[in-house]
Amino acid sequence: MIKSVIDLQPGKNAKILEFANAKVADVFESMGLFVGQMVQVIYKSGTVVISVNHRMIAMSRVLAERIYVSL
Amino acid sequence: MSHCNHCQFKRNRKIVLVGNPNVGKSSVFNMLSDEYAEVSNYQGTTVTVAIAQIHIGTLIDTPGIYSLTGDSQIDEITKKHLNEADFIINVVNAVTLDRDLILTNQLLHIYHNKMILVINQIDEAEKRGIDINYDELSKRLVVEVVKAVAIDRIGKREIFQAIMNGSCLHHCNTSDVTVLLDRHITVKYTVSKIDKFLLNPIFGWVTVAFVLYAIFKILGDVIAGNIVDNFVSIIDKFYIPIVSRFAFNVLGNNFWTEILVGEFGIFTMSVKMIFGILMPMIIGFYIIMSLLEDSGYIPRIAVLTSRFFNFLGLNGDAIIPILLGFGCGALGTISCRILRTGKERVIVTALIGIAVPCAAQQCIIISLLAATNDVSVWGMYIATMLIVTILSGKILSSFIKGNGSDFFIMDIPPLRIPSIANGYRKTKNRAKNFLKESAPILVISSGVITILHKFGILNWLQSILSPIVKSLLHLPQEFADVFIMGIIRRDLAAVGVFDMSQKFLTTGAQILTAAIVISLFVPCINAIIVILKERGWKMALTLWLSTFVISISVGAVLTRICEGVLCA
Repeated sequence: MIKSVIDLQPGKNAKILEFANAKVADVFESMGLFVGQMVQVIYKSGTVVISVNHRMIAMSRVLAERIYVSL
Repeated sequence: MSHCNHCQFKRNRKIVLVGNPNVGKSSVFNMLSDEYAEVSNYQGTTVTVAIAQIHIGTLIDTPGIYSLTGDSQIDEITKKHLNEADFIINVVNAVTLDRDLILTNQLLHIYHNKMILVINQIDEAEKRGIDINYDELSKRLVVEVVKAVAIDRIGKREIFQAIMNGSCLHHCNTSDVTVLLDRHITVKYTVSKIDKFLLNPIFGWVTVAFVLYAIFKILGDVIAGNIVDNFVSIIDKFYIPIVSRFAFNVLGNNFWTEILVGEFGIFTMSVKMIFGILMPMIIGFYIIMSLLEDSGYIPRIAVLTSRFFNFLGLNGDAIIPILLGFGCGALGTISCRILRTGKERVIVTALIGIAVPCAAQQCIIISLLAATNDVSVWGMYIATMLIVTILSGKILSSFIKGNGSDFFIMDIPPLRIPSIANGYRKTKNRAKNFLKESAPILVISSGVITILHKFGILNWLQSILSPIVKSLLHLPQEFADVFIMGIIRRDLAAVGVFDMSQKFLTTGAQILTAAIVISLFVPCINAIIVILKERGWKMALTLWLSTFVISISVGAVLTRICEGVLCA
């Protein structure tokens, strides 16, 4: 099932399938986030914190909603 | 490795350090130059370039960028220096190599024949079990790779050697960097328990409250209550009588003696203000800030506060210039360059000018409020500052045209035990800069105030400002001096209030009103010059006039409220 990363329960892993559009893809790719990577949601409050490989990245909900993952 | 003429050693070459934010470029700069550019554990520490002359050319430390396609102010500064570079040192962090090599790949496409790659913080990568095949990386990227731990000065000789060798390997089209990484680097990561706690929306805020309380206690009770008191009493009891006696014996009792050792004298009031009051507090504040910055705690506060800033039309990025503004308003204004939109830069510049007291002011304000021993005074001060911040932010975000940024994205650096050596160098550097900036102005101000006092101009100014000071703010007439000092420098005004509090400010209401007026008072000359440069004269003038009106209006309303509350 394809959902946005924001739908993940904290602690669950998922693979990035695609980004909503080219503009956000640019933002994510410049921060080292790519399609095919495994992500894990750590917290989702006003800000969403995810871990990707060995890094933690915080982002606004607006951005987190634009990462599509496989559940 | 082959050499060619292009890369031969040139003494006047421009060597530019470039890399993603928070990879340790400034640490490499410090290691190579033996100078000090500020190093902290969060992105956006460097917003301007640092330049040092080294034996093989001019070394330039640039602000961190993620990509060559970015168009922020920071990106433009870095790209300008890249275009003028004779040689490029691309610094990457061994822990975040997958992210950092994206920029490396872009750089290699353009600057492949004049670049080396420095992989910094290899010690931290080893601790985390990150295994990097450096030789294979060098072979695949076709660039000289140097390993370093810049903070411990490891890799200095190898970097110089690599620059001297030049990087004349023929460039090949590098394939997808992520594929390269998959083959040659293995990484493991788990979120630490402490991070889960610090980023938790509930426990995170409890920790922030505890940290703030600890800062108030250390600055208010330990530094202001003990160290400053002792310093001031030593200066009053021993230094001032000796220097006054000496001046009277040498010069006699005349105008110059008064300028030098009178009530507002250069060798009496200035020395007491600088070395008795300001320096102990400033050094204490900078030590605390350095611990917070180097530990990596500040980006975690940015995550927690992002929702609050959304409400003001900003996002978590705003915390960096605001926190730097708590050190110095001018520095905070410059670091607004890290913000993505013009609207955000204007709002944050204005908020720093209106409601962010600088380090010296905070120290004095904390000590003033701590002296009241009244929790309600603290509560009213914090509530007033929050209300002013929220109202100002809301009004500004409604009236300023343009889009705010909801694209908040921030790397959270690993938590580190702050380095004592870096903390010492940073505090020493900041205290030295503060002394260099403040001391001459304080000395000149002492002389000017003595002259104004001598010729009755001070009394005349006090009587002109009397309707504002006495009728509106219900403060003693002498508070007018603080206004005059505050226009020159905010810290000068803060010290004036501190000095005055012991003689004239007798009630909690007066202390609170004085603290609020000083906190919200006009930006000092330095900050106004920076606002003028960064945002233009219209904004500088509007902000100056607005802060004057806001500080008086809020002070007048508050004094009436708190006279009722605190007297009830």
